[in-house]
Amino acid sequence: MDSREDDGGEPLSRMAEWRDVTPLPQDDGPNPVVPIAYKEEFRETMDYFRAIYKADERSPRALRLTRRAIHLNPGNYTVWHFRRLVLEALNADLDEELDFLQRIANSNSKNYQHHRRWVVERLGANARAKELNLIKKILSIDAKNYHAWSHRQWVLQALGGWEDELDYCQQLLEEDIFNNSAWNQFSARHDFT
Amino acid sequence: MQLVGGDNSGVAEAVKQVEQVKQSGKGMATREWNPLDFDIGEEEDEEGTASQSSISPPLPYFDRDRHVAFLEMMYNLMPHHYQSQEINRLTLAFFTISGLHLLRALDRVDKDRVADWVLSFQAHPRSRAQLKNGQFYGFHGSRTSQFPPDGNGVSARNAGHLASTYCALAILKTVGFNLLTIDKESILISLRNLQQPDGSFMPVDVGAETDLRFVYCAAAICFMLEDWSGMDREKAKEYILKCQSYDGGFGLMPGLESHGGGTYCAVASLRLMGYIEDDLLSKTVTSSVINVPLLLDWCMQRQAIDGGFQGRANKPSDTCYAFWIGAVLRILGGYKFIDKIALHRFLLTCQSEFGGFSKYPGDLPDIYHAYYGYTAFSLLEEPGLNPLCAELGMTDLTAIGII
Repeated sequence: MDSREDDGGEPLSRMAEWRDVTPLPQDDGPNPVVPIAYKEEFRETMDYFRAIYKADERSPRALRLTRRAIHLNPGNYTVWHFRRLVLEALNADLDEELDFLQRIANSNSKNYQHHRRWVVERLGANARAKELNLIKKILSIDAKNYHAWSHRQWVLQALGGWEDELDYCQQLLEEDIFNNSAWNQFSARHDFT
Repeated sequence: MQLVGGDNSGVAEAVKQVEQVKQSGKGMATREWNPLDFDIGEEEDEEGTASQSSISPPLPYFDRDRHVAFLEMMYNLMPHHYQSQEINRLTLAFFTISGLHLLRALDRVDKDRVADWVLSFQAHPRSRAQLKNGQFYGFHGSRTSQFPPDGNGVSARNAGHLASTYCALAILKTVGFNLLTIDKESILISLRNLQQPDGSFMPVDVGAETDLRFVYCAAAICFMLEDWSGMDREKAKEYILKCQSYDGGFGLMPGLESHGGGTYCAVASLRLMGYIEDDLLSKTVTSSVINVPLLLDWCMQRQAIDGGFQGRANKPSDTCYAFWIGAVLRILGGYKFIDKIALHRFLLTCQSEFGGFSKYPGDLPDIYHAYYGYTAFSLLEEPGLNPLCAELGMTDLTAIGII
């Protein structure tokens, strides 16, 4: 799965696969302010993304390109949105997409919360255990990660599982009695159930 | 790429400085962050894995000149580290330009050129019918969400973003542009497309998190445009109230842990919408839509032993919460209760020798913490800074409309 999507990071302009595409440079308008000193890899990737987006090309190579763009600017909601369109057009395996998201889950998880929920909603109850476990993993590294807790509440609300949450909160509080996020979850149990 | 500034030597100098700083590996925070997120995801690396601590002792005073130089550099060219923030370009511009205004250095900015550039980000509908198609005809945050129409005049999906629109309007006001001349009708009618049944707001039509940040952006947009037809205030208020936690603070969504950024968005929104009056604590008001005593208690408890403010209970102090929570106290009329001397001392430990402020003491600066450092010093009434409009997060002069 990884190798299918991993294009090795070679410049796109030197790849045969992209020969037919003319990259679309950014038009920064009149007298831009706070211009950013983009690195070449970033500039090139986004130029190709603009071209593919404008052409509305929903192909496997477009999917790979969104992955590159996401790696360079994970907060770019336009890229994530286009990736969803491509996933739908290709009728992609969303279990694989969830695996992909779990592989890249790290401190940048906040950037693709919405995308993640889009995938989980489509997978339904089958994704619950996987998601809750992944969140536990993140919280085991950073027990107060706000986005992880926010996502956890969302999963519990959407797919259930509050009945086991008391044990989990108690475990976290045993590890750190000052974990305010765990105290909050403890209280939220009552509000939501 | 044409850079602003008639004098090319100034730009060249700025670029040279940036290159020197880059090569030395110092001067720029390299960890990932997003100005919209109040560093929520940042708190993981509290150990400061990406930081390179400055070994020189903190300056005992607010060094305005150094900060002006920092902002000028950003205005002319942002280092490549910010490319991951490309999608928030207008936000970066807001921090820079409004920052200069706070420091009484707005003369460094070419106001007309800035206004033209910001206006070029506005999403324009091709017809009035398009205003109901679900998209938001506000401002894009960057060129990566804005695409020119093709030969047939057909645009790819071309939607604005709430936070970018807040920043765009704020910048325009700061440089003295008359907001009455923009197409505010398109903004307000399509703004309603983003409000959810529970009163919250999506930031953009392609789907994203709905939480208090975007309720705040919507309220600030309506306030600046002086027109509340863009949102259902009552529904927004209901959503906000659901976010107040058992301990008095506000989470970013109902059920979430109370948080400095969420609390600011809640209280500032209520104030802008007219649901809480000025200086609430000094009035003999027996009821309010929110639990004010508990909120006040929560806010006061956020000032830590080191003098700084934490975003949540038992988290480390972080520069920006001196604004997020300080501003809440200012709105309520309770800012006088904090330990200003201790806060002042803490903030100076986050002042960078490169100009700007860092999140934690001794770390590298970034434009987001720089801006909220300046707003925090304005709340402390630092001499030489412009006064702050707490509920809008910009200078009083801008809020009132004085150039």
